[in-house]
Amino acid sequence: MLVRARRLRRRYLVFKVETREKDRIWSRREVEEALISSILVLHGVMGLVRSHFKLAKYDEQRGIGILSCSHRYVDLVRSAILIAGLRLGDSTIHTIKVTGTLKKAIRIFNSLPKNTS
Amino acid sequence: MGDFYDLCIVTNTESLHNFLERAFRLGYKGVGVSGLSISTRDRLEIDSKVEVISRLDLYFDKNIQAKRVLRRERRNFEIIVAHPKNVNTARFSARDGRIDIVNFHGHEYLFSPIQAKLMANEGKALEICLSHLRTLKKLNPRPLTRIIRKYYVMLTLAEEFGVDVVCSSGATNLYEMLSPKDVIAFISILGLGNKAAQALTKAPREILERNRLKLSDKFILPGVMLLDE
Repeated sequence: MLVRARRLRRRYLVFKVETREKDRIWSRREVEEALISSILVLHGVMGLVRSHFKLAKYDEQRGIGILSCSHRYVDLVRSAILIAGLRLGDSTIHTIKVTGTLKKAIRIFNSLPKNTS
Repeated sequence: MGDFYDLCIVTNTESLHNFLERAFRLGYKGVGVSGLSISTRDRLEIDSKVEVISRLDLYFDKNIQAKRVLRRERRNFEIIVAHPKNVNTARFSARDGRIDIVNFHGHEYLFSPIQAKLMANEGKALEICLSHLRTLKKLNPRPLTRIIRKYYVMLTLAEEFGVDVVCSSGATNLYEMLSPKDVIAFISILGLGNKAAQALTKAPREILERNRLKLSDKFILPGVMLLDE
C-alpha cells in the first residue's frame, strides 16, 4: 500500500464541448480520442503516461465531461483541451472548472443544464 | 487571478452583442474589436458587462503608409496594433510612440533579438494570436509542431528581453473564443511560465489605461497633465 505522501494527487476538470451545428453530438469515443491525440502530439507518450489522464465521465447529450489527471500536469491537460477542439472540426472544448475531488466535480457536472454555452 | 482581456476579435456591429455575451460567460472583462472606432462604439450605446475596446490593425510594408494612417486615426482608436511585413516596418513599429502592440503573424522571423531589445526599450508589447492554430484542420504533428515552435521561439525571446506579451484569440466567430484559463495554461507551457497570466490581465490593462489617459482631456504632453482642482 502506498504511503500518504506517495499517493497520486488528482485534479478533476469539468469540460464542455460546443459545436456550431447544434444537432451534432460527439460520442464519448470521439472526444476521448481527440483529447488523447492532442496530449500525444503536444507532449508525447511519456506526457500522457505521467499525467495519469483519464476520461472519468462524459454525457453525450449535453456535451459535458469530467477528466482526471495528476495535479502536476493540469496545465498540460488544459492546453491539450484547448487544441483538441481542432480535431473535432468546427468545435471548441473548454474547461469549466477544476476541482480536487471527484464528488465536487460530479456536483458541478450534474448542475449544468443542457444548453450552457 | 484577475480581469481577463481578449484584445482581438473580428466581427461586425450586428454580431457584436453575441460576442459580448459569450465573452462574459467565458469570464472576460474586456474584448478588443478590430476596426471599431471610439465614435462608432459610442454611437452604438452598447450596454454590456464586458468592456468594448476599440482597436485598429495596421498592415503596411512602407513606413509612409503607416504614418499617414496614424496621423489621421490615432485619436479614434484606443489600441493600435502594427503588422509589419519587413525589417524597416518592424523597426518603425517598435520606435513609433503611437503604436502600442506589434503582431508578427506570418512574419515571425522579424521578431529577432534586436527587435525584441528595441521593443523592450520602447515599451511595446508583442501580440501572440492563437488564430494560427485554427488553420490546422487535423492534429498532424508536423504542421502543429511548426506553429508551436514559432510561438515557443517568440515567447522565449520575449521573456529573455523583457518584452510584454499580450495573447488574443483572433476569433471570427463565437466558437473561436477561448476560455482565458485554458489560454494561460497553453502559453505557460510554451515558455512564459509564471508570467503567462499577465498576457491576459496585467499587460492589456496597462496598455489600455495608458492610452485612455493619453486620449483624455487631462493629457497635455508626455509628462504634463492637468490635475483636478
